[in-house]
Amino acid sequence: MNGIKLVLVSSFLLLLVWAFRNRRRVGLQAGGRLLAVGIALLAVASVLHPDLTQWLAERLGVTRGTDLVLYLFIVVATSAAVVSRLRLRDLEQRFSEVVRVMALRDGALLNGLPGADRGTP
Amino acid sequence: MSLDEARPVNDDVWVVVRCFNEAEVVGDVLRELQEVFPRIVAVDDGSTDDSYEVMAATGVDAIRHAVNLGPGAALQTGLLYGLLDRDAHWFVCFDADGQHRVADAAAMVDHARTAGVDVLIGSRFLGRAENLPPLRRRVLRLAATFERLMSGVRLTDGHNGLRVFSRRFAEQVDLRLPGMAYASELLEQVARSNLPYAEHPVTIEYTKYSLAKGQRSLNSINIALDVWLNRLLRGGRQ
Repeated sequence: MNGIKLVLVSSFLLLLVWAFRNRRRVGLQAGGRLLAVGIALLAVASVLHPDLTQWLAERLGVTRGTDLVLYLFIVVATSAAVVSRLRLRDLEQRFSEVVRVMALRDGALLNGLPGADRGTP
Repeated sequence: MSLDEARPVNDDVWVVVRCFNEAEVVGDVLRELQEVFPRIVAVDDGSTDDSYEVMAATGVDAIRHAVNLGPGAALQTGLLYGLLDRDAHWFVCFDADGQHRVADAAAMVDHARTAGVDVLIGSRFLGRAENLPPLRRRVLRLAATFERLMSGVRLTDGHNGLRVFSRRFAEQVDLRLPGMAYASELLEQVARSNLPYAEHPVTIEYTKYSLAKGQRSLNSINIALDVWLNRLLRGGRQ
């Protein structure tokens, strides 16, 4: 791997990590959705014009159009998997908070509020 | 006699005992704790045996999660329960499986009060670990090095379950990671709090029962990955 490829790959990976850490920013969410729409339109265009992927691949320095499609698929699939995992984790956290509130409420109802038995000075 | 003198010793301490399927031993553990600590919250983390009923029968404040959420979540629930008591100043984390000694917990509370530390963590390597399997010992040593690298907290036994927190640290605890990774998450929060912390020698007794129920050494790989991924990808609260 030559120097420029290393810089580009590292930059994209850091950008990806930054995007995930800031995934709740409205601008990033909108950007991500626009990117998804863009990729979908590109997919439609490449079906209508099969030479399009080869044309794009040559301009990006990739030998074959099918290789470009594969690389894009890997990026999209990996991003989707990470986003799903993060959403699931966020959902689990919300679920835990509900279970916790129920436990605290029921505990206080059954045992009395913690410390309520203390005599006041 | 003043009101302060009339209050039982350790009246400002809440002991948090997390429990998942420990019906066989948790009753004895709680009764021994009750001899020293008047305020105990026992959190049943969705047990499928009758742990909750056993705990409730001892007269402690027994509360239960409707489903199993994991040790970190159970500890968080117990701390929040104790924090509802505005006169609670100290919190002890104590395991339900009989590995910890009540005398160590009492000594740690005294140490924390007099030394002015906000976080005191037991260390079996400064104290004693009876019947600790050699592989587990090596994994725990490696874990201590891992914690130093990840959180900067220098401890000989960061994953020891016997801990004492001041109220001002307990109010900051916010545990979200699954499984035993909560212990690493806790150490990160100790580091971020900038509050004074220290270690205290304790004795951990490994019995056939506790070894059979304890986590496998291979789980340390899952913990390390959970901790690293959480650091890499954690986002802000919504």
